[in-house]
This record gives sequence, structure tokens and C-alpha cells, in this order.
Amino acid sequence: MMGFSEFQLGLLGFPALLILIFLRVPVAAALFVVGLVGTYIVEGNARLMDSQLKTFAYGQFTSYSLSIIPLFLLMSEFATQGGMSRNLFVAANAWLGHRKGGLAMAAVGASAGFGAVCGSSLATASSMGKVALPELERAGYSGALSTGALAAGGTLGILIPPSVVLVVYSILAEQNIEKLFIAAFIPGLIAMLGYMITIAIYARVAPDSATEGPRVPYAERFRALRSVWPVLLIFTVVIGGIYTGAFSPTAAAAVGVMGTAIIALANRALNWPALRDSLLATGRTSGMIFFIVVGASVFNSFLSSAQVPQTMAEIFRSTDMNPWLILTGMLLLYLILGTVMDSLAMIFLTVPIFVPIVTQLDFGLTPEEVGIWFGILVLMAAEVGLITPPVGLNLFVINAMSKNVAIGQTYKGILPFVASDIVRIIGLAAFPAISLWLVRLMS
Amino acid sequence: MFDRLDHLVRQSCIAVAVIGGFGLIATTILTCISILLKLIRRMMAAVDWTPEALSWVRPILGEEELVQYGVALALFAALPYVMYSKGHITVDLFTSVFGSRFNRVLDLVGDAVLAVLAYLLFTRQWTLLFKPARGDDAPWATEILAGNWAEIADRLRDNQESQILGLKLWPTYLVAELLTAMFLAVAVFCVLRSARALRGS
Repeated sequence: MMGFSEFQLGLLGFPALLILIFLRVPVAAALFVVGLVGTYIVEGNARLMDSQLKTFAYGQFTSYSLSIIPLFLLMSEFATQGGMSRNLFVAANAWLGHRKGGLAMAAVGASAGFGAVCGSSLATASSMGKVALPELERAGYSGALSTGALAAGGTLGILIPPSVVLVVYSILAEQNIEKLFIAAFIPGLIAMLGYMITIAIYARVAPDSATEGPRVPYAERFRALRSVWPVLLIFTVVIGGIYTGAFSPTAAAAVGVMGTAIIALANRALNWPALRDSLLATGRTSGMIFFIVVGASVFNSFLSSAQVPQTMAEIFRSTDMNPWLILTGMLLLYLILGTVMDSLAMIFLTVPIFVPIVTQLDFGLTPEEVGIWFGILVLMAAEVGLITPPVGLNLFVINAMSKNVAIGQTYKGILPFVASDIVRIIGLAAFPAISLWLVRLMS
Repeated sequence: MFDRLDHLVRQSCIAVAVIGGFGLIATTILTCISILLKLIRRMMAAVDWTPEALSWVRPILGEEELVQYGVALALFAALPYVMYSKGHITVDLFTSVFGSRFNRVLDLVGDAVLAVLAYLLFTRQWTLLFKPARGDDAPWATEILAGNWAEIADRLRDNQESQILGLKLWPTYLVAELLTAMFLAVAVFCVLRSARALRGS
């Protein structure tokens, strides 16, 4: 067709897509359009295009493995409504508040706890922000540090399982979701500790930006912990259930929805308006995600019919480029794209191409282990995009909640946390065992 | 006039999305009951007490299929609301560079692309539900206007069944198609909305 090979046509799909996306065509629609037009050109007739339109939406919407996504989102909504964020923050503050910068560390710790029942970064950032931002301001923390810590803390919502991003990766890369959740556990804890260490250093370098609270006696610390047991229980049942194979990931998500709903009901927080808002917000986010899923499946079907993933994998296999160099290039691309692009859109675009390439490279691991380890790296690298200026959704959410802080302050405050992210990604890339240790233990 | 239409569209989108959301609630309750029954059955088996009268105590048959339809209902029902509430994510990197008039043109283009996609989905999904009209058949509009339901039922593809429960699939296609039709209608409304905003600028 027009002197192009199919492979070249497939590659042309990417700039076409980027142009549409930068012209503010919704990401899902851009994927659809390029996918449909591309399929039409490669096939030379409308038959495949028609069948994509006929079956893909219904097919993806009724996919059992994808049904976990709306359920995790509903669980996040109920957790947000249920008043869990305040209890977590109070408990974390009882343990950490007496340190310099302790209140900000408590916000990060509470975000990690919230992330254990919430699979979404924005929901974690906004519900922790509501609770912690006024307290931080009252305690005399600088706007830069408090908004930076909360925007970074919000990313723990997806770093600590359950995680919507990991579900999407597992489906695109055809990897085992149970193993991915287990693998993400230790890196998630490292992320939390990394953010806390960042705050400690920040408070030492800029002493005016943070304060310390009174030391709380141990009896009181344990009493504060008692109010967070429901969160721990839900996390243990959901992740434990997946881990032991007691139920499927989708069933585990349903159990999580039930658990968070019961807590919200017990706290008298789940009345009709709250339920309606939860359902509406869940519908809005899952409808958005699933429309991207359908658009991406059309786009990926175009790429496969143009032989792009196969040819790319072939090209990379036949070069003797150092595998670590290729991996570094991919992770850098995520970091760069992440400054301007949505993390999910980025994953939909790259994973179907990257995974066949990396699983063929020699890192001294089995292809399955590479798939899981790479998933954790992609998760971490894509997550950085949520907090890198100029376009970082968490930054916008947190900044919008704190009226006295200019966006420039938030941009400044986030940089140490981005640095902490980059150090962690290098560590996880250099030592695959950190991600794979629990997975190996399990099998 | 436009404001009243806007209000109507908004309220219907919200109502449909919330009703669809109960598909998720039903899914949750069903799954939890199924897990409880499974656990009780295991315990009963462990103590070797499995009376005939309690033979219904076991995981719900076809639970996974029911979950799929519950979730799909919520998703199709959410499409009109996502469209109305501008829920489809865009990359706003150059928004500030483009200037307000060009941004409104782009808004219109974005909505128009979504409307075309909704139209394509609607017309192609139609063939999941109905066989295409054969050469000498009367067109759809004629049949519907004439109230020729027997002929319409004849064209319905009612032979597909779900794998485990053997449920007829055409009602699920019908619900999906009706909600896609609403998505299309709302998308057309959004094109109108963007066009008005453009003319007003």
C-alpha cells in the first residue's frame, strides 16, 4: 500500500496517535481511530474493522478477568467514604509524630495503609489530602513539603496492592495477577520507607519547613492502632485470599467491596447520597478505563495485523545490544512520557510492544520471572508520571485542595520525592530478587 | 430550551449510570454469598456431615457468568455519563498554548470523533442482535413502522447461549445495544453543546 510495508504502516500508527492525542482528542478515541483506519489500510477491506466494532466492546465489557477493575474502584470509593483515612492518620501520627517531619511521615504511612484497601492513586491522594493537609498547615509545615508528601504518598495507592495499574498490566502482558500482587508488596513498602526517609532529609536540610509533635506514650500508641484493624483485616483477607488461592482475584475484589461497605455502614457514612456518589464515580472512572481498553484492543489488533510486536521482538533479538541498556531505555521512556501523559494510556501503548521484547532478553531469569519483574518496574516508572511536573494528576489534586499553596511550590516540593522514586527504580532494576523473592517463596 | 435539554440529559445519564452501578452491587453480594457457601460446604465436608437436605450449600453455579453480566451492565450504563461529564481523559499539554478559540474547536472535534465512534459501535453491534436484512426484505424502518413484529423477531439472532448456565445471550446484546444507543444520543448532544460553546466565543 502506497509503497509502505505493513510493518512501516504499523510504526506510522504511533506518530499518528500522538498527534491526535496532543490535539486533545480523548486518548480512547485516538486509539480507536488510528486502530480502525490502520486495520482498514493493512487489510485492504473493512471486514476485520467491522468485526472489531461489532465484538470488542461487548467482549471486553463482559471479560471476567477485567471485571476486577470496577470492583477495585468501588472498593476504593467505599474506603474513601468510610472514614478510614482519619483513623489511619491518627494511628500513624501516634507512632511517628514526635520525629522532625513526623506529621508528614504519618501522612505517608497512612497513605500506605489506605493503599492496602484502595487500588487507585487519585482516590488515595484526595482522601488522605482531605484529612492531612489542614493538620499539616496547622502544625506549621511548609506548603511545598506538605503538598509534595501527600502527592507522593498518594502514589502508594497503586504501588501497594491491590492496584488497578497492575491488573491492566497483567492482562496486556498475559501475566499472572496473583504473582504480580505478591511481587509488588515489598517494593511498595520500600516506596513508603523511601518517602519517609526523604521527609527526614528534607526536614534536616530545610528545618523551617517541618515541625515535631509531642511524644506519645506506648499505651496510647497501641490504643490508636486498635482503630485501624478493619483495614488490616480487609487487606489480609483480600490479598491472603488471592495468595492462598482461596478465591479468584475478582472474587477477592468483591470481598473487599463488601468489607469496605460494612465498615462504611458501621461508621454511618454510607447513606443514599454517598452510595449514589460512589456508584457514579466508579461508573465514570471504569467507563473511562474500559473505553480505553476497547480502543487499545482495536489499536493492538491493528499492530498485530501489521506484525509490529513480532517484528520488533525479532529486531531486538538479532541485535547484540546489552539487555540492560534496552531496559534502561524503556524505563527512561516511561519517565519522559510520564511528564506529559496519563500513566494508564502510557501502559496501554507500550506494554504490548515492550513485553515480547524484554521477555526474550537474557537477564539470567526465566521469561515468566522477567514478565513479573518488568511489571513491577513499569508500575513504578509509570507511577512517577503521576507526580512529575508539568502534568502530574496527583499534584493537581493535592494542590487544588490547598488554597494557600502556589503550584510552583508544589512542583518544588515534589522533586525530592521524584528523586527517591528514581533511586528505588534503579535499585529494583539492579536487584530483581527484591521483587521476585516472595514470588519464588510462594511457588 | 437548551438548558432544559441539558438538565434532562444530565439527569438521565446519572440515573442510568447509578442503576447500572447496582449491577456491581449485585455482583458483590452474589460473589460473597457464593464464597460463604463454598466455605460452609468445605467445613461440612471436613466434619463429614453432608445431609441430603443441605445439598444446595455449595458455590453458586455459573457465578462467573453472572458476574460478567453484572459488571458489563454497569459499564455500558456508564458510557453516556462518561460522555456527558467529559470523563474521557485527554492530554492537556498544549491547552495553554492553543488559545481559547482553537481549544473550543478541538473540543468540538473530540466530541465529534466520539459521536462517530458511538455511531459505528451502534450500527455494528446491531448485527450481534439481528441478522442483516436479505436482498428482498423490507428495510428496518418500514418493518417497525408497519408494526411487523413477527418479521422482526424472525431476524433476531436467538440461538446463542452462555456456556455454563445456557442463558440466552440476546437479551444481554439488547441491553448493550440500547445503552450504546443512549451513548450515541448523548454524544450527539455533546457535539451540539461544544458547537454552541464555539459559537458563543
